[in-house]
Amino acid sequence: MITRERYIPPKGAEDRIRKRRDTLDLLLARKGERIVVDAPLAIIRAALESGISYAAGYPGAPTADLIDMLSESSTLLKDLGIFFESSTNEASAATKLLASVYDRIHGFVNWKVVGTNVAADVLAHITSSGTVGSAVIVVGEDYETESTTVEMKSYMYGKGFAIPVIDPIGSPMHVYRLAKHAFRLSEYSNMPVMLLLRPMAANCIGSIVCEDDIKRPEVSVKDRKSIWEPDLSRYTLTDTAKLHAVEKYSERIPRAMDYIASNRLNDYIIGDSREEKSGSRNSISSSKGSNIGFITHGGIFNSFITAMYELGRADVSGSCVYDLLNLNVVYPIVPEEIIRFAADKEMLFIVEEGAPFYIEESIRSILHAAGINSKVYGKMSNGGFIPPTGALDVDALLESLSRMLSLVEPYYTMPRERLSEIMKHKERAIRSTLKVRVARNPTFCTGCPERPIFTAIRWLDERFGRSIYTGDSGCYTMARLPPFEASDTFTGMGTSLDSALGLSKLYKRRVIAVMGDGTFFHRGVTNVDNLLYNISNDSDVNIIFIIFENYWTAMTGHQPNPASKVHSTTTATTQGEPLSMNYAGEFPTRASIESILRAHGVRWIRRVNPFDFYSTLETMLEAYMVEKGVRVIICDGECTLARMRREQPVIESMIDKGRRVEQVKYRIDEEICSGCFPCEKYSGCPSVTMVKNPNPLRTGYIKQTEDTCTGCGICGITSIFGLCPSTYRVRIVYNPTRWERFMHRLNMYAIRMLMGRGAKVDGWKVESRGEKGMMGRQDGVGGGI
Amino acid sequence: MLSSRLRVYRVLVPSVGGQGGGTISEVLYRAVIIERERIAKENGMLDRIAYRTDLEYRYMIPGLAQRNGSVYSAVAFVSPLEFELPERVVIAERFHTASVDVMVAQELAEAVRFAGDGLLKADSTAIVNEHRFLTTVEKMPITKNLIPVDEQIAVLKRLVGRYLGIDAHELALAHGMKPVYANTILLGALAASNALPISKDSYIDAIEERFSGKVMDDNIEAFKIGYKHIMMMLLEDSNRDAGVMMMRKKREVTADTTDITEQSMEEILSRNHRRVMLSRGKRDADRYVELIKRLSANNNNNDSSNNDRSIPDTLIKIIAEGIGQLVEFEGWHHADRYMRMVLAIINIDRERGDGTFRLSRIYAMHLAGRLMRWEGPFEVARIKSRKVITDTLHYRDAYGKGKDVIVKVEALLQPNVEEMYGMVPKRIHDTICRLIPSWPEYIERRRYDGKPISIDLTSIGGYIRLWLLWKLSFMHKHSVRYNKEMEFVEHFTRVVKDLAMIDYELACMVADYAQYIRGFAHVRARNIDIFNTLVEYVVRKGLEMDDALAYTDHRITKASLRAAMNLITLDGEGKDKVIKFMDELYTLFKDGEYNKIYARLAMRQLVPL
Repeated sequence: MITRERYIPPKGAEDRIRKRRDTLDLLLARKGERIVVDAPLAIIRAALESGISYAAGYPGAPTADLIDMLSESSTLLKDLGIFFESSTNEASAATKLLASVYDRIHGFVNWKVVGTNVAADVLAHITSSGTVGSAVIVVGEDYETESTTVEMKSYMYGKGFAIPVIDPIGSPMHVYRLAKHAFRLSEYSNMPVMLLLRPMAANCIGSIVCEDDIKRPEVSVKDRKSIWEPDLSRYTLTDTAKLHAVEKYSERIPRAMDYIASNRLNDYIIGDSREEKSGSRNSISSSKGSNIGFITHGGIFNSFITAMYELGRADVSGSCVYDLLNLNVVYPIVPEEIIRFAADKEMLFIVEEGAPFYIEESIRSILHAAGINSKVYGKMSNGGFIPPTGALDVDALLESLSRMLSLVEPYYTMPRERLSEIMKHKERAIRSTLKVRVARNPTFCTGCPERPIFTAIRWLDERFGRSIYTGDSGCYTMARLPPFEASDTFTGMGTSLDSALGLSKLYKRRVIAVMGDGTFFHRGVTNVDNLLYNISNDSDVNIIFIIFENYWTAMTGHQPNPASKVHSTTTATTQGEPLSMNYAGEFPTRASIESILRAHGVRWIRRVNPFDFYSTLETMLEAYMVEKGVRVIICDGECTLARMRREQPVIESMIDKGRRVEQVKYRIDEEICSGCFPCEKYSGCPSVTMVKNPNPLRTGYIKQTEDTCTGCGICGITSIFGLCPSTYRVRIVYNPTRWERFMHRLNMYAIRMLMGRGAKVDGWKVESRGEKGMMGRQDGVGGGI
Repeated sequence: MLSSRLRVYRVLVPSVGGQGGGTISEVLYRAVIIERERIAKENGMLDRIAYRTDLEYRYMIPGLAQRNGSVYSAVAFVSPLEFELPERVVIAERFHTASVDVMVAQELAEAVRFAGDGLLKADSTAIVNEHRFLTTVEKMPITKNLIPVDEQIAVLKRLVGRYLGIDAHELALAHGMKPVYANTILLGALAASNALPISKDSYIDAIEERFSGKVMDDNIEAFKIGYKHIMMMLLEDSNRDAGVMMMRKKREVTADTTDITEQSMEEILSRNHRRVMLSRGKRDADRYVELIKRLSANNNNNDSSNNDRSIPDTLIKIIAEGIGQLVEFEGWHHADRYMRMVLAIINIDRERGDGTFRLSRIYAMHLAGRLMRWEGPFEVARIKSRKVITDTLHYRDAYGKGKDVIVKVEALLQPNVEEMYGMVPKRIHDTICRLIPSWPEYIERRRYDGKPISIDLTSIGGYIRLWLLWKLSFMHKHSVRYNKEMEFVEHFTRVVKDLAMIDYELACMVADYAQYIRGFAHVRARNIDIFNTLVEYVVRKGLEMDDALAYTDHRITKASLRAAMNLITLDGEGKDKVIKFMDELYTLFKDGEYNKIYARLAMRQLVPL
């Protein structure tokens, strides 16, 4: 029996209602309880209710949260005996689905939309074999490129590999409902099922009512099976693969269609104008059909209804004036459903997002085959009502829908009037703010260990000519933006070194490739081999390969990777070996990037501490001077954000306990800063802001440091512009030793003597800001709101 | 037909990544649930909503959270007062044009961006934190100023129904809180604004639900500060019966300069007298008074001869401040030189000017502020060495509240060869030059980019080094650098005078460039170089074109000067861009394609940096 009390110490019922409920508590909610969750947690809940035995994934926006939450609840997973793996890439994660192929074992994997490409090879095999247990693939679909670099659909994999694709309506309630169906559908149809989660839905909080208690899996890590009786007909080889393909399309897909139709996974909404006549909702009555119908899909259903509402043809409860078919399962599309819906329609409007338009194509061919002659409007013919590419949000839909409606009801002008009203409102807003808008681009955090490297690159390139910069996926992608503008190419995860090889063979220039540690372990390692294998010893390639070893996969929210270090003193390190940490809370041996590279045959490797800027610069200069072969620089500095979050509370408690603590802050002297600002293009630190020059005879602004400074000192190295002495360092020593205090007093006394009355001259004082808070914004996440 | 027309509220929370906008919306979301349950309980309707799961949503698009990018989150909910609930509700959707009822913005520029997308309804309420987090691009260029905060506020007010501005950042600091609590202050402001049908208690309950321990207490306190602040503001406004409400507060990043004309003459004199007295002694302080007397005597003389051509007060104030700064910087001889130069320009102004003494004002200000008072090693040593104690005390106060703290201040210096050599007396330099003719080239070529020296100013060993340099500052006026700078000042004055004879307006424009001659060592040298380029290339060629086309108002010169100013970013590339641009213009001029010249100029002036 799974009870909360085993995991959470009882505090009294009332207390629990009032206090924030953490992931674990929410997952332990009982049947019938109403809980507030976001969509990823709803999926985990649905999975636990379905009795999964394994979960795996590679984190990536928009579903990076899902893996984090699994990690947070690792005690529960361990207790239930669920195998949870933080894979280093999507292909490894996809391979875990194999467990469902040979036995009735359930589980799910997760990655983001472009991750499907990495996992595609594995998926092709798994889908060929088919599964016995249920296997769900949760994909962070991102057609609107909120957090992804390319506009692509996972649908093509669904269609190509025969994986049912569920595209739920974007709210936790629907995601939860359909996630449960996904597991059942997978088991029923013997196919892995893809569940798409879009950014809007993935970051949405809503409430769900739990349909079930969570279940212990039948086969678990604790209760392992002793019998291995594989059904070798599932083995993918030429002879079986042919049979698999037949099975796929003659058995599994029809079964899936059967499930979809019988469980009504797709929503039929009968036009409200006829509601009195037909009387019932959610049941189609083809005999009393009106002649107009809309077909849309789950991901854009909410936008569709809201746009219709704005045009006066729907209301917020989801009822529409016209008949509506909402496809929550976009592949396979059940022909009977479409035919039934379209049979009595004269006009059929298909509202589908983006290109290529699979849904519209399928529906058109179904209708053609069935000999139904309704006029179909969508993207393809009759003027193309829906924009062929791009995300369909309400604003994008308004125009398309009003054009459609004017075709349906040509004498009714309300939608068009409403549209022009909205357009006018938007135009006015845009026009009036044109001159006061500010472009805001993301930049490296205060104290980021990557900033010094780009400062050095910029400084060296000004002297030795511009290099080609091959970028990769991670925080360093932001080097594309001002102030550094040092990233020229981007070709997906872990490929910067490959791009560098190609470019350096074809261009007579220095190529600088950058990669983070997470990306390196994801796919970068193979790149190193590819590179070394394809250049001879006397080849004149000129590549500098910089690896940012910051111990975390920082871009997606500080997930551990094989290079992560354990900092907690409570974990026992057996032989003094540095340990790593994984999601499941276990401590494997830490991978050393340096040793890997040496073993693979790289000779020139240097390790730098980015905060020691001058030695970094010297090393970089050395790399620049070699001008031949591959030079690897490992930038060894922990992500400051992660470090500060961990260390700040410790430091504060140490100060309170009376221990000696030294803190460093950098400041800018407002009397000396002349406001010339070339320094800013080498740093771009968010903690540096501008205030107007306090000297009344001087115009313009000067720099000022906010209190969020972490003391990395990169602003202090602006002296590379000649003598710029405006930055100074403040060392604050809390609880100094007696000797220190004595010497300090003595020194200050002597200085006072030397200074004489000159000390009394007051400088130009700018009103100080940010002196009071200790850390300001940096610890904002854990601190105040 | 369509039955339910529910009152749906949409709240948008734009913010900068890492500030905690997501948490505001989360607390708001919880407050909605609490409020709904409370009202339902009071009306005995709890069972009717207990299993409704889609009445409220909160979503956020994190974008690049933590990395200072633009992010937003949003809450949408059916009014808690509604009980006629339909089977389901479809409101979890990205907000569209004219749909947002309330905007709680954590940053002014972000508020402007979302208002500019037209998301807000015409009768919406905007609660805006007027604190600015500057963007990287805003901080970079020198010739482009920031967009004034007041302008942004004015635009926002036009776009929303009700505007409530509050500098939550300052308010948090004023109450001794971390800047992050600005967020909870905004939430308090939201509660006080009464824009949403949620009671104050529900917000506090939601904060209690979301946080725990000390953080919870602090958040509740911050919430109450925000609540009280807006309540007071609304009360004041209702007393004044004003239509638009906002908090008036002096802001930092608004005006371009501290307006010296707002200070009284006595204030300026006494302040400068004190400064000179303390840093250079009584003799120079007396000389300062003497110089000021001479200035006013000069003015009075002219006053008697020509009444309407007397120097206006504002100009006198600028000169008085300038003299004060220069006496303190270098000594009275320097200030005397300054006064003579300014008086010469004033005379030209009397003859050629329009009576406003604009040119003199610009010239006097920049000459004293930038050209004759630059930061060489002596000056830096002087400023640094006299600030140690004040800085130490300042930081001890800031960080050492109730704690045992000592503060060390370390100066980071990197005197490069050019700067160091600049301190050598000119006579010695001349002698070396006579002996070794290639010496100047050699010294020009050498540039040292090494490690900076960090000097612990709070130890006597470190301090004494700067102190010695400070005490050697009497050598300054004999140094190579001093002579070089003064040569440029002479050149600058000559150019301004010459141009004033040709075109007063043009002279003002060129004189105004002096404000960009800033920076240290080679940055300053580069800026001086750009000035020469402007004169040699832009003005000279422009005048040539104007003369040929018989434009007496020199419109091409002015337009190209403005365009050139737009091109200069002072990062070393600006100069090449200007030269390329002028060459292009000149070629067009030679080819006789005048229309293209105008088009090109018009475009260049419009396009910002």
